[in-house]
Amino acid sequence: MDKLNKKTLYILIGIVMVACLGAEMAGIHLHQHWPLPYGYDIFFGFVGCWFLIIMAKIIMSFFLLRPENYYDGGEQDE
Amino acid sequence: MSNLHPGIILMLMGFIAAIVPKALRRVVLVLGPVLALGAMLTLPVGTDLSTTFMNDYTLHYLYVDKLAYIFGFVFAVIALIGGIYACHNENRMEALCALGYAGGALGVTFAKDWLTLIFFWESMAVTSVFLVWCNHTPESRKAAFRYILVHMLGGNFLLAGIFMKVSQGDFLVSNLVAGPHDLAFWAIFLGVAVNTAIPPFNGWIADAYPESTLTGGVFMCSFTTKVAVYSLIRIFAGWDILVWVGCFMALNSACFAVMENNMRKLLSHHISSQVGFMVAAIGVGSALGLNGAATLAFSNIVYKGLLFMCTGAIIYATGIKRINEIGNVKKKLPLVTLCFFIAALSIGGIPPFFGFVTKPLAIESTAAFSSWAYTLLEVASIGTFLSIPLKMGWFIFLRPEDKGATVERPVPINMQIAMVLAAGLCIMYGLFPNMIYQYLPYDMPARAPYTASGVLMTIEMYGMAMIPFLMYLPKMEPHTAISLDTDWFYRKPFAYLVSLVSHALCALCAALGQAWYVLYKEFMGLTENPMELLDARPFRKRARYNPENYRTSIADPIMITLTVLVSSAAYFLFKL
Repeated sequence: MDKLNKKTLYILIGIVMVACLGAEMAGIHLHQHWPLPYGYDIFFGFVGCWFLIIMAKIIMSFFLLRPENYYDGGEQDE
Repeated sequence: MSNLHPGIILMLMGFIAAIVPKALRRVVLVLGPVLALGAMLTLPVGTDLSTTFMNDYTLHYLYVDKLAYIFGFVFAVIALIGGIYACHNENRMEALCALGYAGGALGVTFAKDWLTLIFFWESMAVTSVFLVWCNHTPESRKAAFRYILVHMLGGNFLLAGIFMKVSQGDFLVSNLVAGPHDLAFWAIFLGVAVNTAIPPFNGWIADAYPESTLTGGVFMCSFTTKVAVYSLIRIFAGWDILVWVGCFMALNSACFAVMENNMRKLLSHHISSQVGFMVAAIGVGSALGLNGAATLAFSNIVYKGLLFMCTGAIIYATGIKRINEIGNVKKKLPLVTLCFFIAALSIGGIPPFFGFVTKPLAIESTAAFSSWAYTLLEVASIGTFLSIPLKMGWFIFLRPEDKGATVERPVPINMQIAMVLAAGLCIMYGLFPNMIYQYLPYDMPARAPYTASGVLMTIEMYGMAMIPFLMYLPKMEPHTAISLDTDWFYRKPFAYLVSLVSHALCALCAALGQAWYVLYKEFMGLTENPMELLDARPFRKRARYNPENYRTSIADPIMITLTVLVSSAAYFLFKL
């Protein structure tokens, strides 16, 4: 994805998020279970996704990724 | 109204499919599930058929309540779609096992007593292993062997627990949570946990499913784990430990899915993640939670089946199964692309698709239990969105570079029909949620999913989740590597232990053989000349037996005879 497309997407998402925030402030209550500040889900989506990327692509990959022939030496094919 | 068991119909049709010629097999693969679905639809809720077995034991083989109905219905539907998807397939064994496997799933669903349940449960393990074996690759042979070992272990746990239950006089399947948490309880739980892929028993799922046949994978992703979820609802609903187990499953497997490179392996990890949502909702045990688990299982069978169909079609057409070796599939396979995105947006919980009307039930049910559980499941659902619509969607379908992948053979028409049918269901149930809500097994207040707050929350959360993906995009492409899962324990250290024990046993065997040889030799040395034993001198070198050495002279008997003769003669002479 080239930089121009990326920038366009960022702007588009930004506009949508601002509109959502406006809708929240206009009176649409998101969480019935407990009170949370405006824009909590915007923050949650951003942080949650970074958490998963860091967890999976950096931490778990470091410990758990192995070459594809990792198991080949240990098993006999009859 | 009929009293025909849909599962037994499927099993019989499986046997017919195995013996008829190729052209007829295609018909049977579709006709079998059609008949089963017909029988299913004519079974009224409340049906309870039984027969007498050995020792006057009553087998309740066909019991239909609302919970069994919703699961039975979706199993019959996916058997039909899977049958259509597979009907170009020429393999007799695969046809037999695919229909038998679906029949086994329906058998468990309608089982009211423990013995009927274990019979169909084991039949599922036995038939499903052939869907992996039929792929006929060295990897599939090995994976199937591990798969059957794990499932036999789980089946034996369940069997042991059931024997204990039956010996206690509990013949009918029932919720065990309120009762004693005794050995039977734990044995049954372990048996069900293996099939539910609850850690540490989750390794088999991403090990075996990607090695199954392309058509068999559609059946496999739909039945084993969902039948286990059904059993969890029946037996362990309301056991609060399951909430945390489910949260861990959902989050852990979502991370594995984000890492994974193999398309079908990614989806397999994701089955475990989605089942985690269901397990958590079952742990809550409220009507909302159990309905959430049941409807999420229903929807998951449809869209996860569709995802397996789409990846199967890509692998069939291009021969490529790794994400980093393919791209721009939207240009080459537009129908597959369309169906994939319908399924991906469904599983992501995006309106107006199927997942949006089912997933929130399961997640919301945990809010009443713990805000942490709710939050963890929300993070896991971001993981779903990240790994399937974003990661798979971009790298496989949308990115401009195609990595040299070409369509080597067209996708058969039956596969396309099956995908369109499943995609149609994803849209239909998404647009008309009451079509699924009317079958909710437990009573709860009426629900309207399309509220402004629900839609807004989805847009905010998933819209914003796209930003980190875009920021990290250059490094999001998976590597050519495998990820270690819990199957590592029995593929490496346990295999090493088995090898060690086997070498030790071989060495022991050789040592015992050598010792026996020495004993034998010594014994033979002792016994080859028994006369020597009469005057045993242990350290003397022994000679082989030679009778000449021990034969007495002829003079001795002559002398004895003469002596006796002379003595006798003298006695009689002098006496007279």
